[in-house]
Amino acid sequence: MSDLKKEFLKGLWSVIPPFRFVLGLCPVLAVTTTMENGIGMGVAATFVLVCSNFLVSALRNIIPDQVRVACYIVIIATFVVVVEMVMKAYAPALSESLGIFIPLIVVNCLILGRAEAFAKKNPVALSVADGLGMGIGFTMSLTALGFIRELFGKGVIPFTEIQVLAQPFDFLQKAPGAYVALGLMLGILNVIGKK
Amino acid sequence: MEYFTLIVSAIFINNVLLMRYLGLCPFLGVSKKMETAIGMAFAVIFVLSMASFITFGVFKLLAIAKIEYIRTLAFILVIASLVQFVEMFLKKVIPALYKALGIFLPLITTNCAVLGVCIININEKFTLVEALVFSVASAAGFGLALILFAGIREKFELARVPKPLQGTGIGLITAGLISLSFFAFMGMI
Amino acid sequence: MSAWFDSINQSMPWLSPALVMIAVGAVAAAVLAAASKVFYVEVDPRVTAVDEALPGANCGGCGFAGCTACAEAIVAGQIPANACIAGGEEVTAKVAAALGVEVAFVEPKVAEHLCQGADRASRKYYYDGALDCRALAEFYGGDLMCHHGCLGLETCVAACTFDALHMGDDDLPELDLEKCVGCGNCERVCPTGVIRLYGLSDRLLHFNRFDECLAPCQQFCPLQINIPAYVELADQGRYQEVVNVIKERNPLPLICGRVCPAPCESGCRRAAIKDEPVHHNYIKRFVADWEMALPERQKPLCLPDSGKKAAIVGGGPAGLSAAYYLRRLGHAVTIFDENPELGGTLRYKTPEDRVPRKILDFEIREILDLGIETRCNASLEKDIRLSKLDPDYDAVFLVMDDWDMTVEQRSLSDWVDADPLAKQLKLTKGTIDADEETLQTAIPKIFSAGKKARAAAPAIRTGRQAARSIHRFFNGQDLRFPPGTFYKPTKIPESFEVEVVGVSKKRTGLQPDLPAKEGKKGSAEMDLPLTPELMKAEADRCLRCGTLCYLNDDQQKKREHKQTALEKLESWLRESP
Repeated sequence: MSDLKKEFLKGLWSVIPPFRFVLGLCPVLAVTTTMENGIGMGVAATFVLVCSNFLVSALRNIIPDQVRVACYIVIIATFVVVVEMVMKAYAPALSESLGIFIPLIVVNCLILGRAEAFAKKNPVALSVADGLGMGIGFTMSLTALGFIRELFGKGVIPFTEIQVLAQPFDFLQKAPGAYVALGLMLGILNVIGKK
Repeated sequence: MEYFTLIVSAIFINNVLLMRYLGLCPFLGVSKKMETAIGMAFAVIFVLSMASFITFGVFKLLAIAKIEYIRTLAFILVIASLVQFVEMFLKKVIPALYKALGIFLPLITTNCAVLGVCIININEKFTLVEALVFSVASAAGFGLALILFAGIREKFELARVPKPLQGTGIGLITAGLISLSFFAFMGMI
Repeated sequence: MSAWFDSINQSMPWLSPALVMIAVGAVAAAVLAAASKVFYVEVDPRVTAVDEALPGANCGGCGFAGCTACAEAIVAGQIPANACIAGGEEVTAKVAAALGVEVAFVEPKVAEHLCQGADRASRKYYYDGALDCRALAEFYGGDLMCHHGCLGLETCVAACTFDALHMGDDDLPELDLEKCVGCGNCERVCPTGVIRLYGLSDRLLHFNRFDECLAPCQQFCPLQINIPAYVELADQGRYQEVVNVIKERNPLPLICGRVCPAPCESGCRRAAIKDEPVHHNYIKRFVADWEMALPERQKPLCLPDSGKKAAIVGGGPAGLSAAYYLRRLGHAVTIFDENPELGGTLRYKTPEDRVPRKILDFEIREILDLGIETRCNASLEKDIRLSKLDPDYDAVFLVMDDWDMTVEQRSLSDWVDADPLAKQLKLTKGTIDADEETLQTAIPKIFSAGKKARAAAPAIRTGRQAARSIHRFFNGQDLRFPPGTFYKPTKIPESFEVEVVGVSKKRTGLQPDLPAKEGKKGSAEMDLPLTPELMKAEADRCLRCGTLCYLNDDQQKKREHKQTALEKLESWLRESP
């Protein structure tokens, strides 16, 4: 039980993607223009991660070594297609704003990386815990970044229409600001982590 | 002239890496040295051009069968197989290039830029020629950003960067500043 | 057509995707299968086998970019099977097994970092540029006054692919000798040459150079003994290592501890503050006596047999020294001497109270115990004829120019003329002509000490110089010294212009009338207060100098027991079969 807890908790802080575990950056910058998008992407990615970890782990003794990467990709892609369709149906606005980054969850290095590094070597329960932890950590990172970018970049409190900043930093909403904000957040997390 | 607009837009205005955020993982991983950056850039151009060609065809097939929704799965399968094929081809026919590209060739499978551009081709409803032009230009833009970044990053290894920002942190901030400089191209067309 | 698909999608929505995916998958699989046949690349199975034997670290120590490249070169015969320096003997054995060949011995090398300057070192300017030692070295050779110290920007740390180098707290790189495999990356990137690879042969045959860190005492020592190193080791109580350090330059420490006039003490930097010098000779004598008293002594390390044979004519200090070093390098040695016993001037021209015969016998015995053959009572006419020695030996070292000692009262020119081979030697004013630097005569395999082998200390140095020339001759290497080497004692002027500040006088616990200085007049075997406490107190007085550095009172650091490179080489070589 403590193993499960350990695998789960590590994704929440010590190895939190994408700050400590620098993988899966593509969507991070693109979707965090608003906090809502961040949460949405995080949830979608977590779903795919948990399901793929589960399946890869369950099939780990069956999948031959030479074709394993192709198999993992097919497994992940299947779940991504499911997510794609569910989002289109039940959250069309979100689906619209996330755009091509939903199908791009397939090539999210985080998901493929966990399959390769963890799920193929560990039993199902641990893999699911790992996926859940990493996924939630990822979602938290996305949420945090989205919050900052929306608050300071748009000037509104997320999920509301309340304008708090008359002159928001539009820079943060665009690409350059995204990079810089992520870099600075990484630095801050390193400082906090050291203490 | 349309093609010109397409090219300029793909390389500068909507740079696939700096503006569309596609292809970030190799961007930070591969750009530590100039040789690896150049190798990756050429590998991506090579693979992306072929991938867009084939995925274009596959999508037509999916359209006929009215199952466009499965394009993600189909595309990624195509790209993975294509990369494998290119690896074998190069190893035999151009071994020097194969050696030069090294480990970056298989890494292109998970490069979101490749899958991303293929999907953009579909979304923008390009013709085959437009798709090819767009793909090559996007890949060239990726390469450009990568090489620019690698050049700066090599210098960063030797600079006094504050400890928390060393490595990825300063890399991201630099990427942001380069991307800001690309904003200058916005008014070009 | 599309209507048909529409209806299928309605009734069996899973059919189309399944079919399409299977089709795409099948096509991809077929293409890949065909491609794997068409584009099949023949890989020599030996290359794979060798590649697997190699460590896979891609360190570049072999000179190739990556282990696979190295494997290909080995199989192609471009480089020998022992090319992987980093892997050492273990890997060489595996590679040889993969290829089915025999393995030759490769001497292990390990890195050593020689600068102790750090914050003691005076700097010329403040640097705020790219954090790379090579970049800093572009500016007037670096920011250190001495020009050959550690610049401290961690370029070697970054270059090490085996994680053996880390920056220590005192701004000097720390070497983890457990991890060092001797690949040489650090040596290649260091712009001042302060971190280098040494094997046992490199250490034994090293002669000081002007671009090395040399303390004033070291510069005065005619044998170039590493005095600061042995004083530091003595301070830490590591006596066996002190002996090993001294014996790298001097095989006769027992005798020298008694007769040496200790020029090192005249050079000691304490003199600059009008203090008594550190009595290095006392420490040397203490440690030599300590070793003699051990019930079981450690035999000096020798390299495996090389198959080469050397003859040394003349069993005096120069001959003994040459024999000692050649034997340690793995060559077979025979000493010829006309006299009934070895020792030369030390035995036949020095009184007993200066060089006690018991000590001399003991020390010579220790040297011969390495496996050196002797032919005493050799006849000038019959045994010591060059044309007789020539076929049996791969090199001959002649150190016998003290002709008034010869039993048969021949003159040198007579002896030379009597032999067809010796006739080719040229004579000048009663000595055999030999190159001053290489000691080689007109005949390549004959070496001569000439007039240099007079007093004991220069004689011992000349013996080592000859050993170096002969060893390099055996290996087909150039005999010349690299430019800037001191093969005679030379002073670096800047060392003696150093202003010594912040150092207070420290009383020595030894009596003013030290036997070492008195030895010329009095008895060498006086009862000396040779106690460990006095010795340590003396070692504590040492300022751990470099060419320009020294320790002032605030900087008296306590050094922990760090494994030295010599210790590591010793343990490696002693463990291997």
